[in-house]
Amino acid sequence: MFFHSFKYALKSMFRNKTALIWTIIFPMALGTIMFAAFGNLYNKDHTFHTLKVAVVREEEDEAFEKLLTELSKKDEEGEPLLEVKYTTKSDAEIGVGGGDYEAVIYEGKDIKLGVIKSDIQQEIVRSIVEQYNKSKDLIEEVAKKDPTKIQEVIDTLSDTEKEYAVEIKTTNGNSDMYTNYFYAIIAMSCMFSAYVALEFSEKISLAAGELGKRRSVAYQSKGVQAIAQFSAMWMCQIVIEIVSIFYLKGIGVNFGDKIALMIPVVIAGTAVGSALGTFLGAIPKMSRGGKTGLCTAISMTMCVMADLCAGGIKDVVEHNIPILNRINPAVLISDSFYALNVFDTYDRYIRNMTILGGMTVVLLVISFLILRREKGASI
Amino acid sequence: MQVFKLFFQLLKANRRQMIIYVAMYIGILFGIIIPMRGEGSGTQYLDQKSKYALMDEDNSELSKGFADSLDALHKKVAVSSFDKEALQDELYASNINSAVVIKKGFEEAFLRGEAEKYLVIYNIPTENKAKLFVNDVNEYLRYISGYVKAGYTVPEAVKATDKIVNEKADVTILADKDISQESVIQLFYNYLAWILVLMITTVVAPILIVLNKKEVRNRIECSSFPFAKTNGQILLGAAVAGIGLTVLFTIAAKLYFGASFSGIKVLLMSANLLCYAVLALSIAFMVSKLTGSEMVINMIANVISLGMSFFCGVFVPFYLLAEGVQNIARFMPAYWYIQAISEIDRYSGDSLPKILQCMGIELLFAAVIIVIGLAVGSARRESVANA
Repeated sequence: MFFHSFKYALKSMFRNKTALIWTIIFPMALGTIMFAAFGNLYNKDHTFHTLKVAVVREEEDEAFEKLLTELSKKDEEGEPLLEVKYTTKSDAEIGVGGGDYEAVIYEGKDIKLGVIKSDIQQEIVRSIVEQYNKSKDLIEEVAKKDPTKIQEVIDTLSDTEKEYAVEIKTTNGNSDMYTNYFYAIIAMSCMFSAYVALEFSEKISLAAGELGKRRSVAYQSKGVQAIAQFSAMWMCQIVIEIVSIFYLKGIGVNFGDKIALMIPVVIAGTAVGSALGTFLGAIPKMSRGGKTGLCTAISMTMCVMADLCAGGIKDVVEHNIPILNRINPAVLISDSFYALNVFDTYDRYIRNMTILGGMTVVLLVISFLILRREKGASI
Repeated sequence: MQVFKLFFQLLKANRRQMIIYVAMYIGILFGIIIPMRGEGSGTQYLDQKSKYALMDEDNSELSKGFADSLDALHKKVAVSSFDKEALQDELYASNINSAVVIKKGFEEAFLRGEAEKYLVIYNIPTENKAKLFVNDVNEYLRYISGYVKAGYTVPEAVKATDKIVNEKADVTILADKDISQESVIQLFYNYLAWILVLMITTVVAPILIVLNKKEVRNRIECSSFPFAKTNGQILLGAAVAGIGLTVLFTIAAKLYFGASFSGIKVLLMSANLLCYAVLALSIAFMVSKLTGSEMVINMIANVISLGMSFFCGVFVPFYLLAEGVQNIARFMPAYWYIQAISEIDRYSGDSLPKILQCMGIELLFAAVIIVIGLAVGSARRESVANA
């Protein structure tokens, strides 16, 4: 009997073509749009690239120009710190306004800077200018105290290759924080399983009308009907999410190399989304509009808190009310993807998956209890 | 005003849903998004600091001086733990850009020329802010090294370096306003580009679907009520709903921002929001012609509202987006809405024509979308009739 109901639940889903097509298109369309907009943002905004600067020579400073030449040479990573162009004041200022240069350096008795915005690229250029000024002051100070040491000091200060600290990466995975948006899209798509589940849950409820009443008097138990419907819907959602993950990876989203382990996350994610919808659908004495509204409010709030539209919300919650992140399925889904991508261990992944599984069971048990207790006299 | 009344009766029936949406979006805006951002800088150059965490196990003269200098140059942040996983989370969330560990024996090692064995920086080495920070760390220790080579003791070198380390170069902003900053008022209205389309589409489209239901439509059409009047009253109902939402969000903005949001800015921001509300209503109208399922409405509303927001600089500053994306954005109404906000935020009398032009383009988009909606509706009706 289970397979009979399962088959008809699947048929019913496939007949609602518009809903099915949109469920498939939804994560892919959003992911594509997001990739077009944010795909290269981390590389553009956060990753270091050679800084183009215009130098306006008001008064020649040989030592400063030597420093600029040094900094324009390729370093170990093959990318020089600066790309310098000597030009006129008007060209330099037009260029910086048009985005051709990060800054204008006015080379004179005092070295000054002109910028169009205060950002990190400008700060690096400023830091170079300041370091030159500071080194000059240091050498002048030493010259007054002990001129015999000058050469040794100049050699030390000029040795820009010397590193005083060792840098360690905390991950070999993807450090692009914008990937969070893609995690959140898949989380949202998983949470949107709630809409389908809500509809299915209502269909077996007495309050749903003729179909619900017919099903209630059927020989088959409501539990079997509910499990069959839930399974059919869950299976479809899992397939859709897996296709979405491979599609997003195909267009270039860097999910790391543990793609296979992302599948259990979407299995757990769609389960909790579907369980949420089943639970909302089972709530008695609430209009369909009210249930849909609640479903949207809950799922959207959860997704916004999983960094769907503003990066950093998840982290703010983690630092202030971490319990909210532990009970928010969208955050748990997104965090599981993140943990897979950046950590070598699986502790966090397993913790998140366990919570998702637990939430699904709790929501389903409550829903089935509500549906079982439903009596014809109540409608 | 029969149909007009019916529109509001249906809206009233969905009032719970609407209250939930309005409360949720206002909560997200004022409770989460706005408090996370700071104010703009105006015409002054703002020092860009790297955020770092520091653990000093050496506690020597040099390590203390070094820590003080980093504190002066950058922003120190407390972290709960220095274990690799916790640091990774902090680095990923950009709470810190570097984590410095000064190991026991650092000063002695520095004097032996082996500082790098006792000074560890956890970071994402390819990032700009990590580069700036590491550069400053190396420079500071290079100055100390220079002084030590000149015969200074470590405390003398630290003292001498302290004097020069805070010197700042003269920086001039070559524009009226720093383009990398946006005000919180601008941020609030930017986010409404996402919220308004999503909210209006998910609330109004189901109402329009009810009015479009075969039985209801047939009943209205066979009455003595003229077709044009029916549509006119539906449009009037939608317009009143749009005005209501505009007033609601304007009151919320006025209450939250107080005196900093006043005068002509309030008027222009409200007018721009109203134009965008009309656009959102036109999208709701078009979506109502595409489908009858609330789930699908929700998905379409999300794709349209989030898609336009990603492309038009709602969630990240527009200038950061790739040139290709910026070009595509010009064909989206949200772009013109955002442009108008940006102009209103730094309003001068000269920018009024440009602001009005942006609002006009938003309304033109709305008209085009309504025409598309009518065409889709008519095509669907024909296909149903032929089936």
